[in-house]
Amino acid sequence: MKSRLDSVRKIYGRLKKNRLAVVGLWIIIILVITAVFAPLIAPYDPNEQDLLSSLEGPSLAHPMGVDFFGRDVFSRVIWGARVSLTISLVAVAISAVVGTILGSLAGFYGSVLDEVIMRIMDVFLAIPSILLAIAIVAVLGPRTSNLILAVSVSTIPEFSRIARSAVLVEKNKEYIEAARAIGESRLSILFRYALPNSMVPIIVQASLRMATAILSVSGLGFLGLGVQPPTPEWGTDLSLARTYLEIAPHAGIFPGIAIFLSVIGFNFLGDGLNEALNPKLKDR
Amino acid sequence: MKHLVRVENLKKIFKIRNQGRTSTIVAVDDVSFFIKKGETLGLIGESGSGKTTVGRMIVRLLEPSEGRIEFDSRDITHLKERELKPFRNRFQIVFQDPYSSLNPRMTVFQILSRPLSVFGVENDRRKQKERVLKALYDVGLHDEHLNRYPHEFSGGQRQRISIARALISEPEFVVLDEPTSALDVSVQAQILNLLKYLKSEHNLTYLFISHDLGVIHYMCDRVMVMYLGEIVESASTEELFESPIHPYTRFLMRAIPDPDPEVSTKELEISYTERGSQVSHSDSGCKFFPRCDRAIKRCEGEHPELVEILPEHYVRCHNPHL
Amino acid sequence: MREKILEINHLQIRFDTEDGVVKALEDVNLELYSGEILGLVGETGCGKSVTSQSVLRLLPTPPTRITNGSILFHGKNLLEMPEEKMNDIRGGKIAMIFQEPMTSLNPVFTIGEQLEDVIALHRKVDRKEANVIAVKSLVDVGLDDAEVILSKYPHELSGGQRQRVMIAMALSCQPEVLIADEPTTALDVSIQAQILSIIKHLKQDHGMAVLLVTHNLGVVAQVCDRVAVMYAGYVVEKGDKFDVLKTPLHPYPRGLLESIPRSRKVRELRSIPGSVPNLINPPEGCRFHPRCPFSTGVCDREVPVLEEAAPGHFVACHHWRRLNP
Repeated sequence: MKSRLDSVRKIYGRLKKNRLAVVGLWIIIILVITAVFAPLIAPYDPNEQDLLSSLEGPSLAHPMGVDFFGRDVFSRVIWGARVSLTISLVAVAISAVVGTILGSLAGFYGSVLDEVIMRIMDVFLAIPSILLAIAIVAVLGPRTSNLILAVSVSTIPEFSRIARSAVLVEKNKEYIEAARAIGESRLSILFRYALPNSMVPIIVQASLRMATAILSVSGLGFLGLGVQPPTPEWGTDLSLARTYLEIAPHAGIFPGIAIFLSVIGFNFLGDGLNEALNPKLKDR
Repeated sequence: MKHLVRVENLKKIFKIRNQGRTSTIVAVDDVSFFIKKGETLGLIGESGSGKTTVGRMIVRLLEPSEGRIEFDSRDITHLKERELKPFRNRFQIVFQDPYSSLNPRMTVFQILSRPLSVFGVENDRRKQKERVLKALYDVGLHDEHLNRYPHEFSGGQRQRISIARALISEPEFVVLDEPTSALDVSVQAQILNLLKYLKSEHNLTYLFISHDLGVIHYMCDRVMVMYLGEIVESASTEELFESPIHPYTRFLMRAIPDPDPEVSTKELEISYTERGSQVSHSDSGCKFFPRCDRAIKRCEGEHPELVEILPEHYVRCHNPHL
Repeated sequence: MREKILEINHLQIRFDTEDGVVKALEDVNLELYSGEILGLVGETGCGKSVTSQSVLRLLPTPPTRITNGSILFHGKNLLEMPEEKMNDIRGGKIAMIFQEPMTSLNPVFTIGEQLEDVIALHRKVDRKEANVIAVKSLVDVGLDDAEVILSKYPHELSGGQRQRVMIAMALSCQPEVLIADEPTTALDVSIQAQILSIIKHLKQDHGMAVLLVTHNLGVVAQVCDRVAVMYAGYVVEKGDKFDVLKTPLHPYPRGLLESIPRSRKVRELRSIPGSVPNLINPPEGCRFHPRCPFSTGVCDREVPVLEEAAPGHFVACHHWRRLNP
């Protein structure tokens, strides 16, 4: 147990050397706190309308101004964090699990199974992920569950590709042969031996994919295919604000900044993790 | 004495795909031998001799292309993994590289208790722990090592863990595939002595694979010399080291530098130019012909058979050094 | 008569790592005379490779810090030499070959292109002349079909051939010193014997001084004139190879010699207990004392100094007199 803690500390130590990764990490921490404590932080109910102050600019009472429907933009941005983050997190978690299982099975068993799984993944990879997501939501209808499905389906191929190549590398190591020699079954070798040692690229990928998922969720929202109003969501709000962008830019700028920051945060962290985890975390 | 392992006409052909073209390499070519219960058989050869491939085929980590492997008088050559299961805990293997042969994500306890769970020897966790501890003491490690990860150990300690993993299911036969060649000499001696001790303690039979003549001499009762997939000489250790017959064996013995400068300085009169760079591809002749200093006409065209030149001393050579 | 070409004095090197400062070298004193082969032996982590690489300043800084000492080449301190001058020395006056020749050769150029480049650069000759020198130096290292070798790519050669090419490349610039860092460790014994005999001939024919780094005492016995044994960042014994290998004074080389299985005689192997210390927290005093059967109270307090026990035979042990009556 102690050594686990030690290695976490060591990884954090390496992460700390990458300044952008630290910035990313802080952005994400703030984002998560915001999402979790949204009801406490937000000064107003995000759906409370005060039509009299519609499109009012930033002020002490409304630090990010008011949107067309008279709702407090600051409160909506804060609640939006909750929506974006939850949907993206669930979607990435699903695609990470499914993609990793498919990819590692393909890599580990090889031959026909590998061909079948990876050719299917190739088909998905050939379609730009946002187009794929749009198609899925367009067919199934814009419900939250469909949104999650759309975003996760479009990221599965990435995970499976990465898991496959990681497992392929591990598969040829001597400890796998040793496991066969003590009679471990194939599945046990995959899940107890090969997979736990392939987690590094998958973790890195998960962080990077969080960024794209947030972008996809708000992109779909922007196109009216995402979370439906009046639920506060950055992309949807941005799209609504577009009409009045010239007279009330604040209603669009702040959700936009929120999207930008969270995407950048996960990207920085992902890159940082890649560096911190890769120079062999198993130091000899 | 009873033969625990019998190998007949074993052959392994590797297919190599290189830019669409498939070529084949005969890594092990028609190898036959037996291992008596309780003995240590040495297998010596340089890289590419096929010695490692032989070891892996015997413990069924590699599928033989041709031939037959018998363990305790049962043909195990083509048993499916499920049918093999009752045999798996009777023969084990220790690998060369102590760094890559342990799962970096498992603690020592997990590594050592897996064979117990898999073979169904012991499923109760408390009893597992007792057996794991006993195995650890056996190889010279202690309680405090139980919950550590492989990267916290030195090479020698890791090799001890590997040995404990191989022995915990109480096998009768162990393949030792260059178990000390990645270790420092001072540690190598520890491991060799440990292996000797464990052998007598647990009535083991070893197949000891190595490229180091000194190690083989120290460990083995009988020795086989392999060259390019074939056994070229086989005899009792004493006889082989006192009167080697095959030119390749003699060459190897001269090539290994002895730490005694008086012995060593005299012997460095090995041919200075490289003649063995072009390996002969003519299937008909002796494989050692291109490098041999005793080659005669017959060697180029006719492949020699392994012949019992002296009692229990087999040599594959047309012009043996007698 | 014997000129001291290379002299390492009180070399101390530290590596900064995440786990702490590695005290890789503590106090290394060596000298290489013209026309001799000096063997530098020891086990993993003893600092033999670090020492050899520091001569040509090949260690990356950071994490490396040279905290004390000097390396004198013909009396000039290499550690204080400007980088451009150092570049002339690397591959010019002092050449180096490594354990894995494949990594030191560029895979996309033929042997000829690389070899002739090096020769043209250091010997300041044109391509045609460089080619002549290249052929000659390949023949020198026993590659008779030099023209064929020159047209090949590194991957088309065997391990032994690649190491010969590396030696030829090192030689082609007529260096005064050759540093060979485990040159035969990755090779089969038969090839090893050939490479060693080449190195020995180089000394005899060209009067070159060689610093041969190895973990193999057999190799030392075979080709070296003198030997220095290192342990955990110190030279613990050095001298003529007959003295050190026949009558070692220090318990560590003694133990090493007793732990080598020999093909010529069988006897009980005596191993050295324990393993090489962690150099982040090395033992106090003599770094060998936790593994030493003769250690006493003084050994864990005071670092033994390297003293001359017999002419040219140095040992760093508090008890060498008691152990060698």
